[in-house]
Amino acid sequence: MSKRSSEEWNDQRLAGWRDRGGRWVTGGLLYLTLSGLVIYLLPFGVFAQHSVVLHTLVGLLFLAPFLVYAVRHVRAYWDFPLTHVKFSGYGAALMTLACSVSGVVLTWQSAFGTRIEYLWRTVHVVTTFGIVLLFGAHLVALVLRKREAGGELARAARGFSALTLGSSAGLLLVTGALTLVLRPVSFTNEFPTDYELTPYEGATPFSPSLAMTASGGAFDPRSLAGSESCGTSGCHQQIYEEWLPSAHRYASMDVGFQKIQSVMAQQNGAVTTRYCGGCHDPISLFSGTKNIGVDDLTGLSGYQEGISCLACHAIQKTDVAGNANYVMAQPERYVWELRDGPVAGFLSEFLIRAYPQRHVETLSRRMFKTPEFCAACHKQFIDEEVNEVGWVQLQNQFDNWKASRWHRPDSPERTIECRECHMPLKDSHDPAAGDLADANRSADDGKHRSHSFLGANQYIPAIMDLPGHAQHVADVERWLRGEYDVPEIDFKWTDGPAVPIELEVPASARAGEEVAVRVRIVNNKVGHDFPTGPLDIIQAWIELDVTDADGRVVFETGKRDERNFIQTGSFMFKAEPIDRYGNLIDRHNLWEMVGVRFKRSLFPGSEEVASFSFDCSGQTPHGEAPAVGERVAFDLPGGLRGPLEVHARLNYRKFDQYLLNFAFGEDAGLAATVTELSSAHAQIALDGGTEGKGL
Amino acid sequence: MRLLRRRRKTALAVGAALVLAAVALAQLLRQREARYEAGERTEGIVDTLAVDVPADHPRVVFSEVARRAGLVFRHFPGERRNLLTEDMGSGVALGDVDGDGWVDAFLVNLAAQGADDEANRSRLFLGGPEGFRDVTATSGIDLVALGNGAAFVDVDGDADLDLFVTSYPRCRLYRNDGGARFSDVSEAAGVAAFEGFWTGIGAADMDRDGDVDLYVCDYVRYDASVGAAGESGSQYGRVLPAQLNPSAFEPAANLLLENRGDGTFRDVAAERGVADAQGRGLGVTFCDVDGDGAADLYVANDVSDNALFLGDGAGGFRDVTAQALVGDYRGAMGLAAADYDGDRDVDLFITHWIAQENALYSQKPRAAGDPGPPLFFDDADRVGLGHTALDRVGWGTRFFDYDNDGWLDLFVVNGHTIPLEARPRELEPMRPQLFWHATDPRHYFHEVGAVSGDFWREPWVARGAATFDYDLDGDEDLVVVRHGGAAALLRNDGGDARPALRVRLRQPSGDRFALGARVELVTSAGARLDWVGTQGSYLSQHAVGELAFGLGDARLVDELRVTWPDGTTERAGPFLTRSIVTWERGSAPRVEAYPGRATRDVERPARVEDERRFFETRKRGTEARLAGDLRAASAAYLEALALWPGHGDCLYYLGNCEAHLGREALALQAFERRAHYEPQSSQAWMQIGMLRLPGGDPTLDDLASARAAFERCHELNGEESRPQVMLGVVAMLADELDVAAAHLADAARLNPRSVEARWFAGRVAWLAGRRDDAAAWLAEARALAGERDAGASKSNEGDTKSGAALTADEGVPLAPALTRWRDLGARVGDPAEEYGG
Repeated sequence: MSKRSSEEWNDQRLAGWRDRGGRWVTGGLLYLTLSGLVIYLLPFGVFAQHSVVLHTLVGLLFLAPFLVYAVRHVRAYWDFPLTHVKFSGYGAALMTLACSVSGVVLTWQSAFGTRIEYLWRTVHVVTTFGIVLLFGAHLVALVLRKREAGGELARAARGFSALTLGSSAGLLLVTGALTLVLRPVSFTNEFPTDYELTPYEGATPFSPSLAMTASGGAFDPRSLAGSESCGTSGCHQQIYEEWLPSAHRYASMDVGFQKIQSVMAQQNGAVTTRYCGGCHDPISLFSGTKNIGVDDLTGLSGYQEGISCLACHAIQKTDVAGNANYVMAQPERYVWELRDGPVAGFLSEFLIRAYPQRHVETLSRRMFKTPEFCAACHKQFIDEEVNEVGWVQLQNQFDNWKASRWHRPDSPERTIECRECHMPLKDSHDPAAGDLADANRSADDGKHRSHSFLGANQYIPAIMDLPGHAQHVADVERWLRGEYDVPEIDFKWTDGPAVPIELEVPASARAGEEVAVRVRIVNNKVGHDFPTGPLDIIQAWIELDVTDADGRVVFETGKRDERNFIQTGSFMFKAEPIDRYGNLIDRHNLWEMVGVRFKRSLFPGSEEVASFSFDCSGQTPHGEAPAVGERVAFDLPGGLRGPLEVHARLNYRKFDQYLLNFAFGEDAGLAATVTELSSAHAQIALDGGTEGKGL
Repeated sequence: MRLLRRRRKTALAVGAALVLAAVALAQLLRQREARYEAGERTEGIVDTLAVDVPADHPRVVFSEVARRAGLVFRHFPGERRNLLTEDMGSGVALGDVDGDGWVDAFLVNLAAQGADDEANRSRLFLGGPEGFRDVTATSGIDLVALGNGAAFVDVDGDADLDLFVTSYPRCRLYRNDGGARFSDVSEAAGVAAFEGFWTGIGAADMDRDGDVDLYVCDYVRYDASVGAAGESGSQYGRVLPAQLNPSAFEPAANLLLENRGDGTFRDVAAERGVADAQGRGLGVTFCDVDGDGAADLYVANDVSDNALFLGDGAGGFRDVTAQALVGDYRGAMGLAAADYDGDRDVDLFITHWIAQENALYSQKPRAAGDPGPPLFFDDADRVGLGHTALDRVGWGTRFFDYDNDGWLDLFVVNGHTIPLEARPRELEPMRPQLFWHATDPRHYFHEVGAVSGDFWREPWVARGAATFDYDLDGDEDLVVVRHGGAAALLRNDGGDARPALRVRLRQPSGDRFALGARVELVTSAGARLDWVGTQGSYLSQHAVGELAFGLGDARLVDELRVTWPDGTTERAGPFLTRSIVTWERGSAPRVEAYPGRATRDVERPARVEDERRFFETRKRGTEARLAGDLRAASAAYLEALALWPGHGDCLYYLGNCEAHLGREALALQAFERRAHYEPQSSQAWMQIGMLRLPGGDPTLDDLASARAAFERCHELNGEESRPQVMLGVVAMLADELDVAAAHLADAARLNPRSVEARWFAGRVAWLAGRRDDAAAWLAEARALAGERDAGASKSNEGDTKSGAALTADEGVPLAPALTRWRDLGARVGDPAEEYGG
């Protein structure tokens, strides 16, 4: 216990109240506490955002003086009796220390990391309330005592209060001023002056797309673009890089899409290309570029980003009707977002990381997990506004899937949804890694869902030379073959090739005999039809050849000719959609489509058999024998030597040659990549020799 | 006070003096009125004849593109010597000598004395999509002469154009041996024997004996000794070399060369009374002046009376110059003949020497059955064509519709016969004139050269001139021979904003190029007349064997009525606008788009409001079509196509409407037009093939054409099933059953649901006697036809609410045997019943 006299303690106190350091430190602490509470308690807003930056700055400046003062203060009262004042003082100091440490960590993480950690944030918040409590008690007791003391001490205390309160109030005023001056970037949400708002009765500004903006009006293209900033900040870099060569990214720049869009504008009117915009080019659609008389139906950022990050993440609502039946909002932006310069860039990223709630709330929604969300665009129809005839269903992965064995309303844990296959989990250092809400996942599984959106387009990323296309195309091809491993759904997905084929051949055949060969094709892994739309341009087909032991070709089908067309009469998966007069929809002119002549595709789990038969006699030259069914005759070069080797392949390409020729001219020499999805081999013994069997 | 008073007095005096001085000065100045100067515009004078360019003048500009287009020709490289034979200039002949559809040009040269080099040669240029190619060296035409006129005429009836050239002192005839290679047959044909100052050429089958006869003007009996001693004459107030006055020479008799049909000619001018020996002949045309179908003759004579001879169709002529009031004595050079005022008779325009005005002889209507000769009045002044030529000497000319508004406009190229005072070696240049025929009831011709391109704003010494569409973009271009200068090729830019129809007439025998054929074009705006090869000019020939009609706002040409030279009439139509109609007598006309504007036709309209109007109109058409009102739909599509001629879908829907309405020939034009613009359109080729199959209009049925169209589809996309089906059907109809079976089997494999392919495969098997196969195919077809009625899931690509594709009932009409498969589901018969009938 101290042996100092009460006078001495009074002097000490007087000096304390008069201490400039004490006054500044307390003022700082008061501001930090108040602004902390503002950030914590006030709703997301500009004032709070400026408070975060100022709070951080003041906090950093506060650190050293606080430590010096704390040490001095403790030492000065070391001998003081352990009263409730001293006790609350120690407590407050400890809280402030913890709060400072967590603050420094949070600052570090916000400035140089990819996200702040929940634990540190909790510490920072809890200790703040600790400071309020303990430091409050510490001060209240002193103030009460000061009242008793009166005179000089009271004057000193008043001076103390004036400075602390004044400095806090000043800083809050500065925040207020900043709030008035520095607002988030404002968007020019206006249609071009000549924009045709209601091209027909009952139309919205975006009809015949069903897409809508939350405001019902135009969206500044900047408000949905800028995907790069999500990736370059060091936050979502992996995801950004996955997205770069993905189908979502090139949805608009796709040379095929661009060509078809301009043909549609020419033939059916520029306004009707809004139909495409909802899913292929929303940024342009909402900014009003798809209008009569314009040279570029696609705006620059729309072209570059297609389905940008925000094109999905800013969707508020979707309707399972499909055809881009969604409502898009403009997410509220942070003050420093979309501004130029290194300082603004740093502050923008810092703020999002330091104060991420709004970012997370607006851009990460439970809805994104659902197949219905994907259905907004992966279910398409054409209606009277476009084809002027009536409703026709187009590609529809959603209902396909919904009716399939992969959708099990009775046991949700066995259901496989869109994201589980097409967005498999990837090892991640992304701030959004981990997901407590997703089945089979945890908040700290260190994984994110791939934004490569693996699908079936192995052609466009390559010819457009998109960044990372080599890996992407390799992945897509592995995907198409069923070789892409998705361990997290192993337990409920099938093994093996996506669409395996099997050969059925007779064990042996005699010369002069008709030989029947069957190829069984099974949709083993695909979550929807194989192949799936648009089937007017996508093709899968059986290539089959039969050779004898000397390598002489006995029979072949499904070969491509020198112009890259598939041999006439081959067994193909595709559709022949037709126009009003029964002619082929021959250049993806869906605006004229009224139905199909036929469609051949495989429903999940189902099987199709391609039958071929050939005459082993060699009597009839190839191509001239009329026959029922799949009978094909071949030209026999001479005596055959067994066994006959039968090779079958299931091939796939994204664009038929006709469309490529139409879009780019035959002289361009373009041909879509052909991927062999599966194959089979068998032997047929001749003249009762060795037994034929599928290999 | 006094002092003050004195001062005041002084001030008053000075002031008064100043005022007086000022008044005097003012008076002096006022009297000094500016002196009147000659030519001053004083008040009180008005000029009601002067007409400014009207505000609504056509937005058409003629650009000089000769060099760019490869038509590099320099006329008369020598030095002028003030000789008449060097000053009358030369012309140009236009015609498709190599039969490639692009008009070729022969430019006549005036060779310098004693010269025999390339620069002095007359030249042949072949036209093509890339412009002109000089083929003189390989053409076999080696002409270095004092050349005057030229005309392409098929004198031997072998369907290619031979070349007749006039010069001083001989005529030349070059026979086209095919492929634009010519042989000089002047001697053999007997035309080399005539000596004279040969100028204008007229061509027609005057006696209807199946070959083309020629009329050749002899200008004067030229005597080189005139003026050789340095005599001079007075002309236009100036003393000039005697040679430059044509009156210094005697007039000469013209030739009427009767084609004997064996490659030789005989001059029958004197015996037929058309030698016109009193005229100094320059311009001539055969045209049916009195409307009796026989070729008449009009001759424009310099400083002598013009002459009009009415032909009787058998080679006989009667001089009616005086009665017809067309023989006035002026210095006539060029002439143009056409029905400029739309009253269905030939009117004549004559260009004259300076201070003589040009003449516009409007033919006055005669009472029906009036046996008297036609009567003309000179209306030039009334319509703005007279006084405008007072200070010009006019030469090449033509009535032509350069803005395609449906009214014939006019051009005149000018240039003096007298040298410049300062530079006596050079003739005085004069501004050419372009007249726009305003669509007001007065038929006023406004001079619009000032707003129609540089060429019309500058003075030239021009002589020959002729019109054609060298770039085949659907408007009339011009070639002008500048005396001693470079030939000008004036490209018409903007005339094709409105549509035109080019008619090329051919006959299978006799006069292959149908000279004198009368063509009546009927549109919603009325009927218009023109005659093949009768238009005249000066020493020149407009594109031979074809006529261009500007169509104004017409959206369709309803009909063409052609009265062939022998008097028989044929009709055809309707035709799409912006077409080249090649009509060989007795066959169906071939209709093509202008190749020179394919790119522009498919591009969207330049003005947004036009594009908007296009889509509104197209939508109206589609609504009418879906409501079943195909006539209204067709009308709307035609209206839309006027705004956007190359619009693929519009042409396709128009074709489908018209096919169903029974105007299949028009439908075929629409589909072919689409295939022209979009050769990759399998839709268009399919419909062309369908139209060529039996059913509907029998004149279009043509299996070979059908097969070609389906093969085109198959070539475009061998993976599609329907062309295979149709190739099978064509083979079946051609009785090539094996081929048919192969196609149909392929089709059945390509389209596992095709009832059509299987039904026809069954029929082919039945026809081939393979009963079992027929039964098997029929069973398959029937099974699929049954399935077809089953409801669809409505969630698959191509599903509709009704379960069936929303195809139209209308379309190309086909023979019942070709559509029998469609209601297979309603029948249950065995193959014998199904196929036996």
